[in-house]
Amino acid sequence: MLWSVIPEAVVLSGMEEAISLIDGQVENCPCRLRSAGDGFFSIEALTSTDPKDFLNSGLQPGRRIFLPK
Amino acid sequence: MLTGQQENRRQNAAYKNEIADNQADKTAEENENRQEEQTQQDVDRSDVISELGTAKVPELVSEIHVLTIIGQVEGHLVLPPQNKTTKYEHIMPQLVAVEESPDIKGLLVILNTVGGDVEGGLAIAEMMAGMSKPVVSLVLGGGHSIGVPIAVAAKKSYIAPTATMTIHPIRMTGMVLGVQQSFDYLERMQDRVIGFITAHSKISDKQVRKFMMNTGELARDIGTVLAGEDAVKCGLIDEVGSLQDALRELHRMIDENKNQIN
Repeated sequence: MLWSVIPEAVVLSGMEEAISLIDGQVENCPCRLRSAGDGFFSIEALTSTDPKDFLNSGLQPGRRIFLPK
Repeated sequence: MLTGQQENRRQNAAYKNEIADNQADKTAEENENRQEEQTQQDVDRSDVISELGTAKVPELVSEIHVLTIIGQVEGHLVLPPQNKTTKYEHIMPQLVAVEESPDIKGLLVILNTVGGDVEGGLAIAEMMAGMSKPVVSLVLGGGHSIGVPIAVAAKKSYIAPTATMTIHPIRMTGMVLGVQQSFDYLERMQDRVIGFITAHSKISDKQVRKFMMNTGELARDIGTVLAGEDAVKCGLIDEVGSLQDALRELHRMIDENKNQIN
């Protein structure tokens, strides 16, 4: 349930588009990655259980990384 | 043939020579290490000059962790990419790490949020409120909707003079199956949010509800926009202040904590 000053229609527009999430590793930390095409991915969420990983600024959600095939 | 005394003297001399040799080897090794270290430092310095154009980069050793709550607070739904979001599943373990880390003594929460997921926001607010370490919040730009409970969850809250906070009703969109049940659920949700806000600030329940149901302020909605000073006057936020005020207070609280431990 959203409680926001931005209208829900604006926030949720594009929700119908399928997103592709894959599980991977960045700096040895297990992550869920969102594909951005051409081998680029952005960190969607960390799936690590080590609290230290969540203090690593290199592992913030949204960071773009290139993963060659 | 050597006498016993001569033999002792010879052995002592040999022992002294051996110690002197060892000492000389050790000194030579130390000098070599020092030279290597110096060479490495020179290489590092020249790297810094070529990369950053400066000879000396000051190293910051801080005992404060900064947490930014920006854009939409993302909860149970992964929001489309046009949204700038703060993901609650990342913030919550980060708060655990802050609480656990012996190097972090205090938390500064900087808010510029338009609101977001009610339960995600409440979860962050509850975790912040339950921390043993000093937590100071600073609202810059906006701390709207679910940003309000997050801002007041800190032990001390600040708002910039130009920042605003919008208090408006929580509502539900989409298909509603049971009107009465949905209304009750919404009301209970609103009560939980108001309960948290009033428990962690000086504003009264009556005042929050009055702000929420205000019809004379917003063109397309009901509710109230509180600018910096207004948020303090009604008791929602502790003080109008800037970054330096928030940091000064956080350092004061950290020192107080250290004194209590000693």
